[in-house]
Amino acid sequence: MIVTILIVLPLLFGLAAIFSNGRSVRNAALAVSLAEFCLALYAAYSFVPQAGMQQVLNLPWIPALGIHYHVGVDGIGLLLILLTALLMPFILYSTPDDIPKPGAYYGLMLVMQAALIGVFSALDGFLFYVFWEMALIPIWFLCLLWGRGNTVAVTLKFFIYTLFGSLLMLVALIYLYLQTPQPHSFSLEVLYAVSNLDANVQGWLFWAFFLAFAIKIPIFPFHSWQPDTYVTAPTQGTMLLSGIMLKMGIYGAMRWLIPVLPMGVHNWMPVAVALSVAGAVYASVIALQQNDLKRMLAYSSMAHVGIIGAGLFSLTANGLTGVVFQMLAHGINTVALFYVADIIERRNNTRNLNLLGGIALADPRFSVLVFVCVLGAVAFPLTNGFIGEFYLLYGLFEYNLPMCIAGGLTVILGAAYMLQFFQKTMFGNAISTPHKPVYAGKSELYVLVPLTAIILLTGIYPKPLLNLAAPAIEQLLQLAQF
Amino acid sequence: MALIAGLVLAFGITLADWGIRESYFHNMISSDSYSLSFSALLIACTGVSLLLSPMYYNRLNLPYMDIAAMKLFALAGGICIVSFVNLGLLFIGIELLSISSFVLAGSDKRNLLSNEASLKYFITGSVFSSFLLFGIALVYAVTGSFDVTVIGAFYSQAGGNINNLFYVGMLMIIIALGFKVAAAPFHFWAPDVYDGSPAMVTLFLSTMGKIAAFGAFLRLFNQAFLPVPYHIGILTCIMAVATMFIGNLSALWQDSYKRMLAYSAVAQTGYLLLVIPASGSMSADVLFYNGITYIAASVIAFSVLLLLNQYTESESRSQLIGLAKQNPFLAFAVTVAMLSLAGIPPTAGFFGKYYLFTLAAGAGYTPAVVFAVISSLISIFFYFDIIIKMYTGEAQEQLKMVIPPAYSFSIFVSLIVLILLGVFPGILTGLLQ
Repeated sequence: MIVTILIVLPLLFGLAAIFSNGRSVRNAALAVSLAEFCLALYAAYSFVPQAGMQQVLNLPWIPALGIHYHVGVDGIGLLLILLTALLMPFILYSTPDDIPKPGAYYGLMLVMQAALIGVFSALDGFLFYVFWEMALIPIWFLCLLWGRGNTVAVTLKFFIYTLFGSLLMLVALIYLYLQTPQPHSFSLEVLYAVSNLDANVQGWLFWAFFLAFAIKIPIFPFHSWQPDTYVTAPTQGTMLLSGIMLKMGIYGAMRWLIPVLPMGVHNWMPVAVALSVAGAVYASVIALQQNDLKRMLAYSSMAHVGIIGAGLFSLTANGLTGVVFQMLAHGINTVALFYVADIIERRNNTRNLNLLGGIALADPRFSVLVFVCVLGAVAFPLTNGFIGEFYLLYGLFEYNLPMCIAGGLTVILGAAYMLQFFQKTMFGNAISTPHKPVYAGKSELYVLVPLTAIILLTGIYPKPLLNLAAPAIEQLLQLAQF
Repeated sequence: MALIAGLVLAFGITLADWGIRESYFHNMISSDSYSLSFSALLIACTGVSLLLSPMYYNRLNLPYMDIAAMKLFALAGGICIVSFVNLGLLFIGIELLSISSFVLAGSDKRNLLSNEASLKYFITGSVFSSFLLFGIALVYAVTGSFDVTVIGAFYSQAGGNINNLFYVGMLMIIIALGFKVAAAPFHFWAPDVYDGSPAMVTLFLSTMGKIAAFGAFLRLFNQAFLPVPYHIGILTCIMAVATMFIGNLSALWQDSYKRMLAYSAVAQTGYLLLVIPASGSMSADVLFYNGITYIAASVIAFSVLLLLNQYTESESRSQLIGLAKQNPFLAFAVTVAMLSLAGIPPTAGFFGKYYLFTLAAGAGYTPAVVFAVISSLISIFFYFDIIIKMYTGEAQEQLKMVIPPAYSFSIFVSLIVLILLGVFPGILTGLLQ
């Protein structure tokens, strides 16, 4: 029941907010997102890791076609819902006060949250698809209307790209649906039990699903929408995209691809891992050469998710543990870093790394907080990034040594560009002069301090989170056998 | 007003007959759930068209009542062809619908384009009517009956062991009905007629006229031609896929909003045509659901055109720039309509497409579904272009649009239909099985 409330609450408030037109909508949206966070915490508190799917609600939706409103969470879904509920207040709070059309903006944000939580909890294929697509509309509008630069072309590219993948997935879902015994069903358990598909058909279906997820994540070479979109979108849109939305792809693969098509996954695993690692190396190399701060972060994000993708398709217990943990860590780190980038850009009116400098002198407090975020991103021990990367590389090592070495290379490259970023912006002489020397004012601290605290806390003591997900990962590995 | 009241009455009587199975006039026409539901839909569609008419025709200075009469004749034809049992009545109904449509297309007498549309439609339409008659004659020659149930029994008993003239007759009928619904390669009249006719008539032809023809098409297949022969199935699939691509690709390049809608109507025909090869128990449901959503989305899309026509001669897409600022409600309604036509959840158009694709894939036409998916991706470009235009940019000239109550009402009702059916499609699924 809690999951349903988590979906319905922001949906209703969001729709109401879209048609409202007041300044108070910001506070209302913040209140809703905080309520969501409390509810998600309660759901996590009452969660029993060993008990499988919980908070299940199963109502007939379109009875004639065997489609149900069927939601529930296991450890993996719960952690992602927690991540969504945790990040949303920060994303909303970090929005500038003078944003135009606040009603529509906050409304779309809340609708987006509802769709994301729906994706992470849907246990019916049709419902999953509806939420999956529903998430696309608000983020498209957010990027189109509040973005900067050539938003029309960039957002349309983004939309067409992701919709292309989604539609292929729809065809695959329909195909699977028709393979289920009469009366047909989209239910997760029924789809898991479909066993009359030969390796060839599974291969086709694998690619249909994989493309949808690979575009969303994005895995090389399906990534070309990503850097432009991240740069053009409003910062909060980028936070949503990189912090939460790309996890839809990873989560989708864990829930709907690997267990449903084990044979197809097994046959194409090497390709998927190779593409992921290649993409990670490629993105790291490009990130090294970027002068545009946001673009660099976009490529760094792509490098991180590349390693997550590789860990995912290595199908080892350690790799999957790393995937789940790194999804959380990456979500938090990337949101913090994009926020940092936004602060720097607002103060200096530039994102060019070569023009920035001297921030540590102007505002040492800010530079310390940024340093923690950077450490998280470069997987320094005692930060959350370290735990995630460690498990991921461990999983890759078990799968294939050269892949692990290539993956490890991206961590080193990551350290290079992140430290370069830190050095260029924080030290040296400023070429551009900020019109406001204080970087971390009160409202900035409200966002950065909690996020850095989480980076450190989950890095020092990750056990509760790992425990939450462990049984679900074990079950996933069992389903992946055939 | 009296006309509308009459239509409401007819609508009510149709609904009141629900569940009763009867046939009239020596088994020429029958009243069953299929005919009743489609009749109700056609009546509602005509009603909306009449509701929107007075303002439109007043500006054009055309006799509103004459045109309304023509629409009612067309409606009578439409009801005949969704309820026929006898192929003779199918022909009469199609003729009644077509001849009224020819007149309607030319109803703006002083407009050259309207005259051209009428003439084109008349000439090609007459030729294809003869195809229909020829097809019916061939089917009669083989089976010895005009009654679809008798034909159906004869065909299914023969089990493939049937005179080839039967298939030729079937093909002729497909060609004729394919023309009526504007399926490629018999679609060439549609963009010109839709574009040349007064916008009000375009709305009427592309909703009432098309759904009626589809109702007849599917009724014929469901009753007489089951199971659909393999080659005929493949052929109609190819027609469907070609129609989608031609419609969507052509719509991309249209600057005129009206012409874009005309091509979009052709593309939607392509999707709907997928029900024909997949005829069977579920197909009626799929067509009915898609018919409603298509009509509702078209009503919204065309209402904007009709409103624009009140204020400016230009029908360019750029007239929509900045509409959201002037009129948020209208812009929102058009957004939902475009999302629905493009098949994006949670609008009704998405479930319609899904339903259609499931039907076609279930009947074994998965490749056609893949093509349909790709073509619907193309359609995003022009449907979303409308949304982008409305929400970004500033209007060049501020049109102080006043939306009359009749327009608000029909837009609102259509909007409710699109959202309600999108969120709760279960209301209609399984209705006609």
